[in-house]
Amino acid sequence: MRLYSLVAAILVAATIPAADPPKIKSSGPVAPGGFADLTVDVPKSASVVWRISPQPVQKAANLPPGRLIFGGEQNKTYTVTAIVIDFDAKTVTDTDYSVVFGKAPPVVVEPPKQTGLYFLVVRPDGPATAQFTKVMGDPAWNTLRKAGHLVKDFGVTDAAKWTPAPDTLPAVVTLLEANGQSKVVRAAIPMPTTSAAILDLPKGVSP
Amino acid sequence: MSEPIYGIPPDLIRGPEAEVLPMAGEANWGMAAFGVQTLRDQPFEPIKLGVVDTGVDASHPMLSNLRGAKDFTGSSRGPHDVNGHGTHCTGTVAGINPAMGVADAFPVYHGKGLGDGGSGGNGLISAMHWCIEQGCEILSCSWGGGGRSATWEAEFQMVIDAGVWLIFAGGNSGPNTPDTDWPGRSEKLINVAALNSDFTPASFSSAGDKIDTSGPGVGIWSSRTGGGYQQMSGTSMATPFIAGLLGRYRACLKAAKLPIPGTFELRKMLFSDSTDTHTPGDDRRTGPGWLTPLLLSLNLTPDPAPLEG
Repeated sequence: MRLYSLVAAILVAATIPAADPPKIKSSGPVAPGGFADLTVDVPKSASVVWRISPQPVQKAANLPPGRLIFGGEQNKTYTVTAIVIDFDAKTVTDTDYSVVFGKAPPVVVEPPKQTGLYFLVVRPDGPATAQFTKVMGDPAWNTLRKAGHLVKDFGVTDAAKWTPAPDTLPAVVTLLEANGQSKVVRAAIPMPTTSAAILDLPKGVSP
Repeated sequence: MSEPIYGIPPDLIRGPEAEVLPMAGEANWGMAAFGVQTLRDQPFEPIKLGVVDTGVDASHPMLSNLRGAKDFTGSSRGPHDVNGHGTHCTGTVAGINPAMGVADAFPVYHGKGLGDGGSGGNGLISAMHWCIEQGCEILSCSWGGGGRSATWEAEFQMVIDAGVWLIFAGGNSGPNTPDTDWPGRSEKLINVAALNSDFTPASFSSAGDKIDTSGPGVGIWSSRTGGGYQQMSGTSMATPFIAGLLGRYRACLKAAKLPIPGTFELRKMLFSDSTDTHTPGDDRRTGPGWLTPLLLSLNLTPDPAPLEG
């Protein structure tokens, strides 16, 4: 029955005059794995023939005449034609619409992991001096931490894994960690003793 | 072999008492002076702490976090503290009042190994074992004085092999002593000296070759048996402060998924994470100095990755 109607409609379309093309409305961009959902305004006295090129992967059946839902291959453009045949007005109109099925999201390649700078505070082995503890208690260090940097103190012996013994102690050696490895981006400088100087530690260091 | 007798270090000084708060100054001055808040600000997973002492007043409102107490002395009062020393120490380790309890509100257990008169023998070992069976990871032991005992050394070795930290008082015999009390001076334990609030060594704090760190030990407010609060002075008071501080530190290590050091690593760490006071370096009165929460907190940052190449 439907096949008969379709053939009849096409035959009629060939013989009746065209009117203003219908407007196809889309529910929006088609996400990867999603369906195109199109509608076209159809007078009660009209029928609609939908054409899709190339062949869709899937197409919903038993929809109202003015609606089309279909699925396509990712990253492929489909041309949809809606042919509206109005038997009362004796008009045939058609319009094309392009549907692009979305691309899969690109594989995100993580940039090399970078946690900010690592300020290695090197001091003489053994107990801290009262002056060292006082400077390390400066809130400016926490400001650096909040900015994504790391701070830790080491005795000169333990710090030898990363730096030769600085000439003057205490000192700050600046490291940059990436891909599970550290590199020295600034050799030892004397440990700053004021808040402003502590906050200036990241300056002038180019990773 | 005769059983060694240990007790509260002699010359413990008991100060003023307060029935109720508030009064002026009922706080452990070490909280602010040492900067305990630095460690409190770090993420932590509370751990169980143990105190081995003269018993505990379980009804004290500051000790509502007491999870268990048991007597190992045969006292007619059971685990209840009639002496006052144990209740005071327990409050300093973990009492829920953050002005006095260092690891405030951490779960705490008390093994009564010192009798009501303040001395004890093998019951102390039983009390330590009981605390460990309850899951305590640090024990605060403000007692000593008996002679060195190979049997006890073997017991301590088993305890530290189990990963438990033992914190002991150095003794209250003053600066002219040849060494601190045993067992505190055992290399298997953490030995604590006492400081005045100006970070000078307390006059009574024993001198010795092996002091691992120092804590506040003069005029320390904490819970009083029977209710209220009391000031006491002694290495007995510095010891629970350090035990509570190390409890907080261990809880932070756990939260940071960092390894828990054994006793020997811990002793090395205390050496570098104390701040020098008295005479420079490792001296006979304060060891390396006062244990510094700020420096402990820096250990919670992972080490840098190895150098490239």
